[in-house]
Amino acid sequence: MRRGVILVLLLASHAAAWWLAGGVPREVGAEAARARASATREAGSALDALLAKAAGKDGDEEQDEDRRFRKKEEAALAKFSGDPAALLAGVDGPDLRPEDAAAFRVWLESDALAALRWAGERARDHSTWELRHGMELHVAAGGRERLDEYLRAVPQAREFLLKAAGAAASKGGPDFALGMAAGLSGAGDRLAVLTDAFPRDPRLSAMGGLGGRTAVPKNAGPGGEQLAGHIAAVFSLLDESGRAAFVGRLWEVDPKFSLAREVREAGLSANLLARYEESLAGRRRGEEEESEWARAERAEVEAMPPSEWLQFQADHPDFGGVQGNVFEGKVQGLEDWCAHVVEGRMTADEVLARVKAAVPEFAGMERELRVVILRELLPADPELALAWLRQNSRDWQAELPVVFDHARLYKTAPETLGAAINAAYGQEDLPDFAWDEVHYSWETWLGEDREGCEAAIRQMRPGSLKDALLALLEGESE
Amino acid sequence: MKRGVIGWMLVLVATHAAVFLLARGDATAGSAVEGGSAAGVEGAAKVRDREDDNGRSGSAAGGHALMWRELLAREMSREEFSKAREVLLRDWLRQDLRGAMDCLYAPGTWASLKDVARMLEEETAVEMARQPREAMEWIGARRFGSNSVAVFDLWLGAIEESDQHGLLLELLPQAPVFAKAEMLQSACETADARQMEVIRGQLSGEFPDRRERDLLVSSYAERAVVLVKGDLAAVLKVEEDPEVRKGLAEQWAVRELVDLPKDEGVAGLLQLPADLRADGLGELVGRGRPADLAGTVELLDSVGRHGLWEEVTAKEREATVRAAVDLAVEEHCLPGVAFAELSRITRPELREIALDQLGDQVGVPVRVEELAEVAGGLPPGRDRDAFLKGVLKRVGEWNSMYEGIRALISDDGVRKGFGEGK
Repeated sequence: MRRGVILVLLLASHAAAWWLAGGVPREVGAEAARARASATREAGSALDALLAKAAGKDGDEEQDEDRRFRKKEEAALAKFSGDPAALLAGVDGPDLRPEDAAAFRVWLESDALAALRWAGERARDHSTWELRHGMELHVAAGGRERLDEYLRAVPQAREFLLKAAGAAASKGGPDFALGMAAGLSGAGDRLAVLTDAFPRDPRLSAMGGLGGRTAVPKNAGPGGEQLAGHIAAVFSLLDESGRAAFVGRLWEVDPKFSLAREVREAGLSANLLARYEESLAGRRRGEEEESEWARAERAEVEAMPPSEWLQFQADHPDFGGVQGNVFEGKVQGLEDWCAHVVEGRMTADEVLARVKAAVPEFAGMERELRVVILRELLPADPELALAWLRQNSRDWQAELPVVFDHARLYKTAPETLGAAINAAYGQEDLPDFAWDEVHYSWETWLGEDREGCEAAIRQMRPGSLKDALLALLEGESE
Repeated sequence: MKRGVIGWMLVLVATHAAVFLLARGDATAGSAVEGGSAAGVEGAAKVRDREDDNGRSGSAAGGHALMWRELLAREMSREEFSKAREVLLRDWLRQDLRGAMDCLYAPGTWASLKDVARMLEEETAVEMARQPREAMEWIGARRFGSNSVAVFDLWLGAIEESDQHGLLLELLPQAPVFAKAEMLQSACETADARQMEVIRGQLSGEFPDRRERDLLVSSYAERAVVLVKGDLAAVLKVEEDPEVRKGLAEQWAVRELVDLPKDEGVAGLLQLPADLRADGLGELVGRGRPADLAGTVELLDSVGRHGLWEEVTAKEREATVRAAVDLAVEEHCLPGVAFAELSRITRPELREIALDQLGDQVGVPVRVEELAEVAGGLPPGRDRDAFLKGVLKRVGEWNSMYEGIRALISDDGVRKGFGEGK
């Protein structure tokens, strides 16, 4: 009797050791994670302490390198003494210290041409970013009057000078910039300064390229407000080539063409005006096509019955035309829930239940809803996603092509994807679609790091995927 | 206590431990890539538990893996979680670089962590710069699987940023094959004479990728020219490899000639051995100031005055002229002005190549109507024909203005060389 109890206890405690070590097959869900976490309660308070400390530091952003450098440069300038020329003559190597930048500023004030000759010489082999700030301040102050002299006396420092002058011009405002340009004898120099002084509308750069159908954002304010009232003055400072270049980029300075009237009255030549009108018309056409296309698509989607809508959603994983993701509009937070699943805080079943509750009109379309969820899960954690599919579908292998077809797998590592495919097919023949999905990412890896990739392939479990990858290896080496 | 009881207790401890370890080992078996930390974050945490041995990792290391699990188990909004995750990983990186990098980069880690890893690249790089040797060891051992290449790029940036170029040659033997050429290239940036010898020795080795060697040759040459302060003859005297000689001539031209007034720059080419002048010329043309039509004409004429056209083949001549024009003609150029400038090129056959290239390469913003109008206003003759040839290539035979432009060609043979418009 006593012996029996001991035996049971022994079994139970060994089982507990097994379970504690995570030896149970991986559950698809939160239970396991929650249980695991209870064993790490001390870690919880350590985490709380860490988070509390970080919360206290909020707002105290770390300064970037540039600003740190400037601060030290100002300090060095305040207590600078000695001969800047002698100090800088001894500088070698790719980087300058804040003290060197301060010395350059002192030198600029005492003998600007000598300082510029040194900077121009240095620019041949090294970056001059450390000096740019001092140069900009110098130009913004009295140096503006001498900029033309500098440019002609030290041509090797032209680029360095124009960069600093352009920065000063864009900060100094239109009148300052026009005054600066007027003082320059080279037409190209004037163009360079004015181009920097009236930069591309920042609301455009945030959108990346502006090609094709992409239109100016609706919320963009009046672009080119800096330029308003100054267009004729700008044109009068440029030669015809300079005007052509400036007109060519007006669309990005003033993306809403709010200055069109002023441009038309600024006395441009017929050809340049025609170029301007052409760019304006092209953009208007683009915008109109865009909104027409969007209107048509919205009408079409809105007219769909639920089942078609869901299918549409599954077929257009990247659809974002009307109001973001159509499905997301209905089911707020799908992406977040799926992230929770991957991190073990929620189960995929819970997500499915939530989705069902959110879209009662999709009742009975479990299979389609699953595809929509798997589309999110598969790239993030293929093994987990396939395990869930397997649990819920008897002919899950038949569903795989649909699931893969709708997932964006470009961020998923080849070994992760490979493991999932291997788990799904083992020794069975690998279907074409599965091979298509993995082979590109393995090929990329092979191209980048042949040794590492080859070793990983050779260590793989035997199976049809391994065979295919071995063949890929041989094909490559031929 | 009896001895027997103690003995039994030891046995029990041992069997429990055995079961525990056995279970741990099994949990990683779900992955296809065996060995190493295969099961992603779970695996990474395990690797850490087992290997809490290295210097600054110590007991805090396991602590972060546990905190990570704790964080994953907490109920919080997505936003809160993202913030907390960032805080934890930042601290993890500082306290236990390897553990944190396992979490972010180990094979099998979640795709979603890729974005987090990218956000924390700067922090990761700063820490790798503090432990450059250890980090290279992990990279060399492919600890990060298919992410090893990305981690190496980050590592190299960290080394450069922290001015530890000297380490590159030292760590070269440990580095994975894919990394070597890039490390050598980076080592060139600050190499001294002794290090340059080592790099030169590596250049004689084998390179699986030709382009990698080309890039390395030009980095090597760039540095070599700086080190001899422009005294090219000194390095050429001891250099026999034709590709390295070519690289040296090119980099010398870039450093010594490109910024000079055009005529002086071209004259400078004569200091090169005859067989290397074409290489120097290529750089002089390719690295000139963009959008400088007058300078281009001056350069091309100067090449003729110094008798250098005779030293290159007809094909090289044509390619040189076309490259020079491409660099000089701006997207928003005025075709009339550009034509006037380029027709000042002295040699007729080069002038015609240049004008043909101009017609072909004018930017999109220049309307066909404007081109036709400009062409119509030019005096008829060979120069205009050359320009029109280029324009026709650009316009294409489907354009409604094609026929009108074609009709302007005065030479019957040339005109008939172009098909009728469609």
